[in-house]
Amino acid sequence: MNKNNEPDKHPVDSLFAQKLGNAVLATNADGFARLQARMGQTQAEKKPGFVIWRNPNAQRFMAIAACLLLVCLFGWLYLSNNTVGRVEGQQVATIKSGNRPTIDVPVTPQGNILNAPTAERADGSNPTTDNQPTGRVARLAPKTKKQNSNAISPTPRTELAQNKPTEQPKTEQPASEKIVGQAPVLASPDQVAAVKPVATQRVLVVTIDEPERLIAARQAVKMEEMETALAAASKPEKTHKPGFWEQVRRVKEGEVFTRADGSDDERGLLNRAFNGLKNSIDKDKTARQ
Amino acid sequence: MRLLIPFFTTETQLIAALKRGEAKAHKIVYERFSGRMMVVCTRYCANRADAEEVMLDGFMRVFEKIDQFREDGSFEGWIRRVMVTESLMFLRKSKQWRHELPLDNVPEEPDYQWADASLNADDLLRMVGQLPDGYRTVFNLYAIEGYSHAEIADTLGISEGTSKSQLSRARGLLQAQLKKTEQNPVLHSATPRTPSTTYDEQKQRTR
Repeated sequence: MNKNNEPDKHPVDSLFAQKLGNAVLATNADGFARLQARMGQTQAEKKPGFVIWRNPNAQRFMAIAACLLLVCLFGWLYLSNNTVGRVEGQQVATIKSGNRPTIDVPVTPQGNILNAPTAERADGSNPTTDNQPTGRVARLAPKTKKQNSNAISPTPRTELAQNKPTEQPKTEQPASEKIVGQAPVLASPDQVAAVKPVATQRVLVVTIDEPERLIAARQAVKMEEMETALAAASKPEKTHKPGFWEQVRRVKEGEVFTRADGSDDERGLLNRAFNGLKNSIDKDKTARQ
Repeated sequence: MRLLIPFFTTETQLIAALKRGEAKAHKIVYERFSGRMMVVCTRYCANRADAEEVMLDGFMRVFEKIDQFREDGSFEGWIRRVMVTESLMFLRKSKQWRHELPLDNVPEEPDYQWADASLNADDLLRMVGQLPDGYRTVFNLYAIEGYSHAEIADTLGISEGTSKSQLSRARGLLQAQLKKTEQNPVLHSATPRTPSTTYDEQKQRTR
C-alpha cells in the first residue's frame, strides 16, 4: 500500500481523504455483545462436540492408562520369559517318550533321589541322565549347587560333578554314583519338561572311596578336636568378679578386707597368702616337669 | 471502561493482552477503534447495516489473527487493512464489481473551498455511498487508502485501465453531487442526524 504522493492530487480526492480519513461514526451499543456472541458461536462451531484428545482431563487419564498398560505389558513379558519354556534362562524342549530314560531310583520323602547305583541302568550306558554328554551335566551343576546343598550325602567325601569336570574316566571306576535332585519320575512320557522347572534339575554327584589311611588320619584329627572341646567344656567357668563399686559398697558396710571374687568365704589374710604361695609352687613344679 | 484502561496503558500491553485472549482487551479494542472502522466499512459497503456486519467480522478476524500482527507498524493501520480486506470480500460476494453508470457529460467543477468548509463527514460519506460499488471501491482504495492502480488491479482482479476509468468516473459523479449540494445546500446537507439513524433512513429523508 504505497501512498500515491502525486503533486497534482485531484481536489476531490484531497477533500474526501481529509474529511473521511479520521472520521468517527457512532456504532450500536450492542455491537460488542453481538461480537462476543458471534465469537462464542464460532468457538462452539470449532469444537465439534467432545474431542477426547483436546480435553486435558481425558489426556491425563489417557496418560495414566498408557503407563499402566506399559507396566502390565512389561510385567507380562518378564514373567512369561521367566516361566514359560525356560528353566533358569535356558530353553527347554519337549522330551519324547523314545528319548526319555527311565531310572529307578529311591526317592526320599522330600523328593530327593538317593544312591542310585549305576548297575541299575539296564543298557549299561553312561550313568549321566537323559543320554546326554557329561559336559551338559557339568554345565548344569553350578546353577543347582545351592539348591542341592541340603541333599543327603552319606559320606563326607561327596563332590559335585562340576568340581571335577575333567575326571570323566573316574566315573568308570567302581564308585557309587548318586543322582541327587528333586525330580520325581514323570508319569506320562510326552509330558513337557518345562511344566515344573524344579523337576528338571538333576545333579550328578560322584562319590569316590578314599584310602583307609587318609580316613584313619582324619578320624584321629577329629578325635583330638573332640577331646580339646571336652576339656574346654570341663573347665570351671569364670566366677563373677564384683565391680569396683560393689567393693566400695562392702567397705562402707564395714568389711575391711573384701574379697575381690565377692565370695563370702571369710578366711584370714594368712590363709589367702598360703594358698597363693601353694599355687605358685605347683605351677613351678609343672613347669619343671 | 475507565477502570479497564489503566491496565493497558500502552498499545504493546494491549496487544499482549489480546494475544492472551483476554475479553477486556477485546472490549477496549472494540471501543477504541469501532467508530473509525465503522467509517471505513461504510465507505465500502454503503449500506450501514451491512457495514456494521462487516465491521464485526473484521474485529473477529483481528482477534483471531492477532498473532500475525508484527509490531513494527501501526496497530490501527493493521486493523484498518483488515477492515478493508473484509469489506472487499463482502463486495466480492455481492458480485457487483462491474456495475457501471453511464457518465454522459463532464460535470462542472464544484467549489472545493465551500465544500471543505460546509460539508461534514456524514455528507461526504453519503455521497460516496451513492456511488456504484465498483467506483466506490476504486475511489476508496485510491483516494483514501492510498493504493496505486497496480495494487488496486491486483487486489480486485481487474486491469489497471479499468481501475483508472472507474476512478475517473467516480470522481465525475462525486463532482456532480458536490455541485448539486453547492447549488441546493438545504436539500442535500441540512438533514439532522442522530447517531441512531441509519444510513438508509438518511437516504430516504434526503430523497
